[in-house]
Amino acid sequence: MIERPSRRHRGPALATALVLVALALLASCTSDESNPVGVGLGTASLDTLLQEFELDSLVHLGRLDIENPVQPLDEADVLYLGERLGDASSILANFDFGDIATYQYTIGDSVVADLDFALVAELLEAAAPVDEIDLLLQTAEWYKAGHGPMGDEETQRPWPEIVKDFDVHRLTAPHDTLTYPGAEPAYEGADLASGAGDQPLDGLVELRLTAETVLGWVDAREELGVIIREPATSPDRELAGFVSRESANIQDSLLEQNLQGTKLGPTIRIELRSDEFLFVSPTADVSTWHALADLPTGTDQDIVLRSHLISSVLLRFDLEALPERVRINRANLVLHVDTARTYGPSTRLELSELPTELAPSGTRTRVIDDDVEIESEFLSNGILDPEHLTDHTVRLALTTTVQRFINGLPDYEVGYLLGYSDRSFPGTITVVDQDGVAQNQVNTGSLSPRTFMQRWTFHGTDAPPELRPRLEVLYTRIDELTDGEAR
Amino acid sequence: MRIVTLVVAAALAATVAGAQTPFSLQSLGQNVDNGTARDLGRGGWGMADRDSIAPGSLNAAAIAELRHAQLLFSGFALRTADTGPDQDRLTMRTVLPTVRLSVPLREGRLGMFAGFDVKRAFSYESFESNLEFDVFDEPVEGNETYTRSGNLYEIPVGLAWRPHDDLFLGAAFLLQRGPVEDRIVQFFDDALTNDYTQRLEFEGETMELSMLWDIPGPLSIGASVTPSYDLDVDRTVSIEGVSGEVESTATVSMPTEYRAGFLFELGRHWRLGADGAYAAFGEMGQQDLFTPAPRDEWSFAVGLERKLVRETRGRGYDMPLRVGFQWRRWAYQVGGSPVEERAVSIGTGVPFRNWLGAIDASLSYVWIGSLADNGYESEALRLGLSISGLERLVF
Repeated sequence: MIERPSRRHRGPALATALVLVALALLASCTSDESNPVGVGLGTASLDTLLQEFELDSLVHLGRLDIENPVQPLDEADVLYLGERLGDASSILANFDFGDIATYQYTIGDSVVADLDFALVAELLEAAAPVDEIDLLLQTAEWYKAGHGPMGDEETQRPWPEIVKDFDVHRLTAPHDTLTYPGAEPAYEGADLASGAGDQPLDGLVELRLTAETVLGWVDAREELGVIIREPATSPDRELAGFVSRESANIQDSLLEQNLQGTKLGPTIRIELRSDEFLFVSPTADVSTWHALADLPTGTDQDIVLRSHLISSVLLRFDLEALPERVRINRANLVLHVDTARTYGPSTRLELSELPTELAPSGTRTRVIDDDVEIESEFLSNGILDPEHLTDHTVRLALTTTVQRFINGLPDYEVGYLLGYSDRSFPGTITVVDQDGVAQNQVNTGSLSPRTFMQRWTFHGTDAPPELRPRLEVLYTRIDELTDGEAR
Repeated sequence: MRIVTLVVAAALAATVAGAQTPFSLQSLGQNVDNGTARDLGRGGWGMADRDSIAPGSLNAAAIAELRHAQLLFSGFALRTADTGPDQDRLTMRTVLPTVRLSVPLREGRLGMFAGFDVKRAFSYESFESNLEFDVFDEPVEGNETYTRSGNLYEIPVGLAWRPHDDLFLGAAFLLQRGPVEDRIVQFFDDALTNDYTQRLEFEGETMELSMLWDIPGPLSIGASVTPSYDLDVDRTVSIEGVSGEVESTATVSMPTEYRAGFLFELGRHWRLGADGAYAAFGEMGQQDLFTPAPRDEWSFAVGLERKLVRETRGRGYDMPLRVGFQWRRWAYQVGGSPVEERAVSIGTGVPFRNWLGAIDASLSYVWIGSLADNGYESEALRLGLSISGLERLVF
């Protein structure tokens, strides 16, 4: 039997009720997120916050010319013809008419197998008189007229139409591709080509050769070299790039889609009938780069970078002037492009940390690619387009390396290597306007920095103050850590 | 005692929300009341109380009367509404500041005790969202979170002796310890950050002497004194990313603290009591770590209690009822004016079977500071809960 609690037994119930009521009051909500209530009451504080510090004089500028012995210049994907800002190149190609492997016979889209010299002679005899023989060059996509890499007329300078004349000469001897860059080799005086280009570069360039001469090479199974030059009378002596014989596996950005599967590099095409052709491919091709503008090495001179024939710079500012034991909130290397002395496609420039002893100031040092020889630590990168009409400043982050310097690391003198990497010609370029708003995207594939010739010229320390290279640092300090003293 | 175990487990599992009042960002943080819910319910007095169910919660001398081993837990939950110049904030917090074990060495004459008391707490977080700068001719916006955490706690170990039926004496050695951290985290545009930390490790020792005199008749009095002592502070300052820390030492002088109180029996059921406390912080002068210089700290508590009385012929009892008022002036100023804390409370409790302990509860309304004088004010609803369990000690 359950006994009903007497009045005297209600104490526990009442106590429980009191607790429950109080719990209900307390449990009705959760804590608010922290907010300005209490701001200013804390006993600790930072003494200085986001202080500006700027250095605009270099104490070290060394140059690194980076070479790759397994990919010499003659294996570059692009052949260059023309000149720009002191850089000039012609194209060399060797042909071996005695090597049947360099011949190809096509009917329509089909390639006829089992080609031999007897069949070649038979084809030429059957097609006689053969008079349409051309030397073909395929313009690299980026150099085609009006490719409009960014497509924004307000902020992007469209690539100009290039109209060129071409001279083709036989070399006095086949060239040695491994000797370039170098002077143009000796060649015979007669111009082998006629009907030089009178249209803007837009895909395939056809240089009509003297048929008798070429058929004589075939008949004699000669091994010879030719040089493709741009005469002084050429309308546009702009640098233009053409696909090399080594470009078989590169990205679409170098080739038009509809040219895929055709011959690469300077190729001789003999038209047998309207849809029958005999092709002779080169055994070697290379750009001469017989003129290359100087690359300065002085700390008071311009900062110049070059791709294709890769030359990077190793910079250093005098960080000793920074306060010690501060928090580096942000450190940027700021460079201003001298657009009048810069050319080439959009680039992703990379900044890495490297001992300055690898490239002593005021010198050019030749180093061998790759990471085996150069163990640099990546810091940051930034995309810059020389054809952009308004955005001529690049900012590259140095925050971590400056902080390491503040912390006394590493134990050697550190420089900042400004140059290229395998991502320098990125897969996708995002075009932004001067307000930083994305406007367009262009897929360029991801190409080696050896692909395109490009020269970046950034204003040096002799430029007006607002254009000088500088290190912009924001830091925060606690006087207690530094005793209020500068380093 | 099973219920004790359950409640203690629940209390220990309670989440301690990192929020008290914004005043705890300053100086030596915020006082934590160490009395039981029974003491808090009647305003916070108890220096002259020699209760047999929950003895010696404020005056250790009363532990000499123990006849059973006692395990005491006392904690509270806070719902605090803070008001600043432009904004309010509501916070919740649970804390278990007091744990103590007392053992009779000689029943009713000699006892010893040890425990854990949180004396001051340093838990609050503020957030400022409108940091603005111009750097290299470009605007940068950011925010700052200031977080203070930690507490200053005390480990008392002592003896209580009853040399005479009416006189109780106590002495305790007090170990003072405490880790406190002030952290400032700033975020700006472009992922700029700052993360600053100041760590304080407090360490000190002192003692407490106490007495309770049950004067024949309705009056009892009690008092204690804690001599002044120094807290040694190891201080470490660092900024994330910067190599090395700055380490330094400092001394925080804690003043002599006096506590005294009386209890007056009003007939068979009612009791009137009052306590006062005084800590002479003003004599300590400027401290190493905290500015401005502290001033004397005063507190006063008064209240009425209807006692828990067992019916002589039955199993029932009269439920206790407690009401009280407490006033405290803190040892430091905020906004140029001293901070005052006031509280009104009610409370009650229930005994365990055979009167071997009790659960007590209190509900207090607390208001701290003044928006006009201090720039901030806080109002808190505090639910106190304490458990005193008594067991025969078996060796």
